[in-house]
Amino acid sequence: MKTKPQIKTYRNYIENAWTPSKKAREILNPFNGEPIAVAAESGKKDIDDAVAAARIAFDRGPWRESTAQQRGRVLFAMADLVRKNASMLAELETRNCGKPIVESEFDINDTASCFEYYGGLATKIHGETLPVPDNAINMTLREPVGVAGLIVPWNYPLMLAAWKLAPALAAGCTVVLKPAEQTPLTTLEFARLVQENISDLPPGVLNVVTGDGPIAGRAIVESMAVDKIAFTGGTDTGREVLKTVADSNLKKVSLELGGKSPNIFFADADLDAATDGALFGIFINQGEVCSAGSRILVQQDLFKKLVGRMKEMMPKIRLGNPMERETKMGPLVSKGHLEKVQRYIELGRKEAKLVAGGGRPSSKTLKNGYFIEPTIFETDNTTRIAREEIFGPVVACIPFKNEDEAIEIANDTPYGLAAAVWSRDIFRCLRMVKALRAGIVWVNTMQPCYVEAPWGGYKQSGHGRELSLHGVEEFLETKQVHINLSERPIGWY
Amino acid sequence: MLIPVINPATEEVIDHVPRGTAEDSERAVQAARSAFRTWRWIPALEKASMLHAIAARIREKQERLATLMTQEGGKPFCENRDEVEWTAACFDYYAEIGRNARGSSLPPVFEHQVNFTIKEPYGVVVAIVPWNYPLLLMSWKVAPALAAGNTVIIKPSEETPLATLALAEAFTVLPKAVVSIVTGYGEEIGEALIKHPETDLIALTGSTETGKRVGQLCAAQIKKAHLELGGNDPFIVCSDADPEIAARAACWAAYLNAGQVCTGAKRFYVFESIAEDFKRRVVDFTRSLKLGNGMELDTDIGPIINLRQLQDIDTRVQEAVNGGAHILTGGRRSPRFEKGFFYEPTVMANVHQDMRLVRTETFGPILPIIRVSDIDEAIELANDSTYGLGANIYTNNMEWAMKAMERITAGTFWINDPLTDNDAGPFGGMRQTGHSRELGEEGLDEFRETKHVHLDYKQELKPYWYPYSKYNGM
Repeated sequence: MKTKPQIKTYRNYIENAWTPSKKAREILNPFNGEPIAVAAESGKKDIDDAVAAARIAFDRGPWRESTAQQRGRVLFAMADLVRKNASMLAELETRNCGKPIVESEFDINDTASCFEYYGGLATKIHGETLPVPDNAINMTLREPVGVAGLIVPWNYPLMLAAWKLAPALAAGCTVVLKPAEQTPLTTLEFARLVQENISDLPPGVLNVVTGDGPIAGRAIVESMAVDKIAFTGGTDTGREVLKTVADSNLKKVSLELGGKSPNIFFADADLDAATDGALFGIFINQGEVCSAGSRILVQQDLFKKLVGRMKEMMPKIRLGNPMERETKMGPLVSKGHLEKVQRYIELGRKEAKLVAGGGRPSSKTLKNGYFIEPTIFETDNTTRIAREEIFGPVVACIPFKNEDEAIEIANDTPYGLAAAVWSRDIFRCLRMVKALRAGIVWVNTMQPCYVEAPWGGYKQSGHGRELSLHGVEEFLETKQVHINLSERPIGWY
Repeated sequence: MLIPVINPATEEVIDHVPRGTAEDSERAVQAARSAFRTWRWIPALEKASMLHAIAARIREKQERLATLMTQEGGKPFCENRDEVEWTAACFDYYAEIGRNARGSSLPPVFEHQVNFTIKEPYGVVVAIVPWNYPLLLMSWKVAPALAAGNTVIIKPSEETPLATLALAEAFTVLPKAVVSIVTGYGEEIGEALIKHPETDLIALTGSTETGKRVGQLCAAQIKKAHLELGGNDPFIVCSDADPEIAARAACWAAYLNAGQVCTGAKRFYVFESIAEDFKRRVVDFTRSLKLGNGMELDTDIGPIINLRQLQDIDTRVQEAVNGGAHILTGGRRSPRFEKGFFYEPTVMANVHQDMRLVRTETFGPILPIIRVSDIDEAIELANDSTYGLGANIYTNNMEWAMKAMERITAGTFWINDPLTDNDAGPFGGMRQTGHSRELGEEGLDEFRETKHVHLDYKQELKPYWYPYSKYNGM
C-alpha cells in the first residue's frame, strides 16, 4: 500500500510565534511538480498583524535602543546558524527552487557571509561631526528608518533575504520579511532556527509572512505603519510598488529590478575565456538571474567563432535532477514561468535565428519537471527577445562593428543593472567602463558578486544599492544635531 | 648675516636672504604660537575664504613668481608657470575640503551614551621645503595645515627662497603670524625650529639623509614628523607599448626639471623585444632636446641646481661607466656653456641593477636602460629598492599592468601617463621614502589630531565602580 508522504506545514512567524492564517498554498518541487510543503497564504489581516508586531517592537521594544554590538552579535549568531545548517538549507533550496545543489551550496555560504559582514559593520556605522560656521557642535547621527518591509524574489531565496535582512537588522530596524510565494521554505526554516537558537532577538523584530504579491505583498507596501520597502523583483512590479507608496505614506523605497545586461566581447578577447564567460554569464541558475548576461555583444571578426564555440559547448550544460552534483542546469521555478519562457522562444523563432536549444529535453526522467534547453539566438538589438527580460536560459547574440557601436547597443535598453566587457586592451576596457550606463561593470569576467561591494541598477533596473556600506544606508535615516554653545540670547527682537 | 642666492644658469648672485639663527626661530615660534590661539577658532567657512583669497593672489603674481623660480632654481619658465597655477589650485582645494568634515559620530557601547570624534589642529607646524618645487611642495603642506587650523612657519631651501618670500604678500590676507617665513640653512635655523619645544609638527620634503636626521630629532621629543623623502622610481616598458610614445614619455619622466624630481623616473626596465627600437628612439629624441637657460622659451632642460649636485651626478655616471655601462648620448657637463651648471641629458645602456647610479637616487637627467625578459623580471627589479615613491608602466596589457600595480611597492602607480598629480589623490611613499601622505583628505588628516568625546546623558552609579564587593555580588 502506498501512503502519501507526510509533508510539513508552515505558518507565519509573527512575534516569535507561529501564527495560523485562513488560507494555505502547496509548495512544489519544480523538478517533478510534486508538493513538498504547505505554507500560509496570507491575507491582508495576517500582514497587518505582522506589521503591527514590527511596529510595536520598533516603537516600544528594546531593539531600537539596543547597542550596535548587541545587534552585531545577533547577526553573527544568524551566520553561525546558517553555517551549521548549511547542507539542510542547500538541499531545501534546491528542492524548492530547482537550482543545482552545487549552486545552492554557494548561495548558502554567501548567505552566512552576508550576515557576518553586516554583523561586523553594525559597529562601524558612523555619522559625522561638521564644522559649521558658528559657536556650536554640529553632528549627524544615523538612526534606523523604522519598520522595513522586505520583499524577496524566488531566484536566490535565502541569499536575497539575507541581503535585506542583515543590513536592516544592523541598522536597528524591525522587519516584515516576505519570501516569494513559490519559494518560502528556506526562509521559514531560517526563522525556525532563529526561534530555537537566538534568544536575544526580541519578539516582533523579525517577522516572516508568506503569500503572493497582489495580496500579501501589496498589503505590506500600502501599510501606513511601514516606513521602508526593500523590494527585489520585476520592473513592472517595481513600478506598482512606487505607485502604491506614492498613494500611501511616501515610505522610503529601494528597488532591485530587472535587467537585460550586455556581455560584450571584443575581437582581442581570449576565445576560451570568452566562451566560458558568455555561457556562465547567461546559463548560471537557469538564466534566472537579475544580472544575467542575456545580450551577448560580439565584435564582427569574433562573432561566428564565439557563437560556434558556444554551440559546441552546449552538450556540457547537463540538464538533470538538481540534487545530483553533475547537474549543471535544473528546472525553471514554476510551470507558469516555464510557459512564459517558452512564449519568448516561440517569438524568437519568428524574429531571430535559432542557433541552439529551443526545446524541452526528451529524457523521461525530466518530463515532469519545468525544464527548458539552454537556448541561443542570433539577432540584432531591435527584436523583443533582445529588449525584454526573459529571466530564463535564453540569450540573444548580437554582432557589432566597433567600440562606438558596442556602446550604443549596450546602452540601448531601459535597464542598467550590469554589464561586462572582455578585451586585453586596458584603454578600451576603461573607456567602456566609463561609457556603460550600468550599476555593475565587470572587466574580463561576469557575475562575481561580493557582499563588500555595492549592487544595484541604473535607469529602470532600480533605486538605491544593496550590499556593502551602501546597503545599510538604505535602512538609515540621518539626524542633524546642532548644539548651540552660546548661552547669550540671540537678541533678534 | 646673509646668504647669496645664485642663478644656476649664469652663476650670478641675484639676491641675498638672511641667514636665520636660533633667535629668529624663537621669534617665529612665539609669533606662530600666539597666532594659533585665535586662528584655530576661526570658523572653517572664514578660513576657506582666506585660502581662496591666497589662491587668487598667487595667480595674480604668476609671471613674477615663475620668473623668480626660473632664476633661482633653473627650471624652464613654462614648468614654473604651471607650478604657480598648481600651487594656487592646491589652496583652492583645501579651502573647501576643510569645511567638509571634522570627525564622526560613533555607535555607543551602552545605552544613554553619545560618542563622537572631532578633529583638532596640532598647533605650530614647521614646513621645510626643498629647492626643486619651492612653491608647490610648500602649498602641499601649508594649505592643509592652515585648513586644519594650525599656524605655519615655512623654511624654504636656502637655494630657492625668493619665490616663497615673494608670496609673503599673498599671506597678508591671513591674521598676523598665521604664516611666517624664515630663511637660512637646515643645520642652523631648520634644526632650531625642529628642536624648539613649542613647535608641534615638522613636515619635511627632502632627501632620505635629511629625513633620517629630522626623524631622529623629532623622535627624541615624541614630535610628529611627516617625511616625504627620496625616490628611485622604476619605469617599465612592455613589449606591446607604442615605442614612440613610450620613448617620449621616458624622456619627459627622466629629464623633467633636469631629473631633479622626487618622482622622476630613474630606472628604465625595457622588454628585450622592444629594447633596440626603444633605445634608438630615446637617443634620437634626447639629442633633439635643447639644454639652456630656463628663461629662453625654447629651452627643454635647464641647469642643475648647484655645482655639488652636478658633480654628484657626474661621479655616479663615471662609476657606472667604469663598471661597464655605455653612454649612448650625453654623460658629461655640457661644454657649450661658459657659465652655469648644465649637464647633458644622458642615455645609458649596459647598466646593472647593483650600480650606485641605479641603486640609490640619482638626482639628474639620466636615463639608464636595463633589459628584462618578461613582466616578472621587470617587477622583481623594480621592487629591488629601499625606496617606494612612484612607479610607471607602459602597456595595454591589463594583466601585466595590474600585476605590476599590485606587486610593486610604491605610493603612486602610473599606467601610461607618468608623473601626474591630482590634488584629490594622496601622494607619498612607502619604505624609506616616507611615512605619510600629502594631498587629498589624507593630506588634511596628517595635520589634525582626533579627540574622542564620550557623553552619558544619564548620571548614574555604574555597577562596575567601587566597592568591588558589590560588583562581585558579595
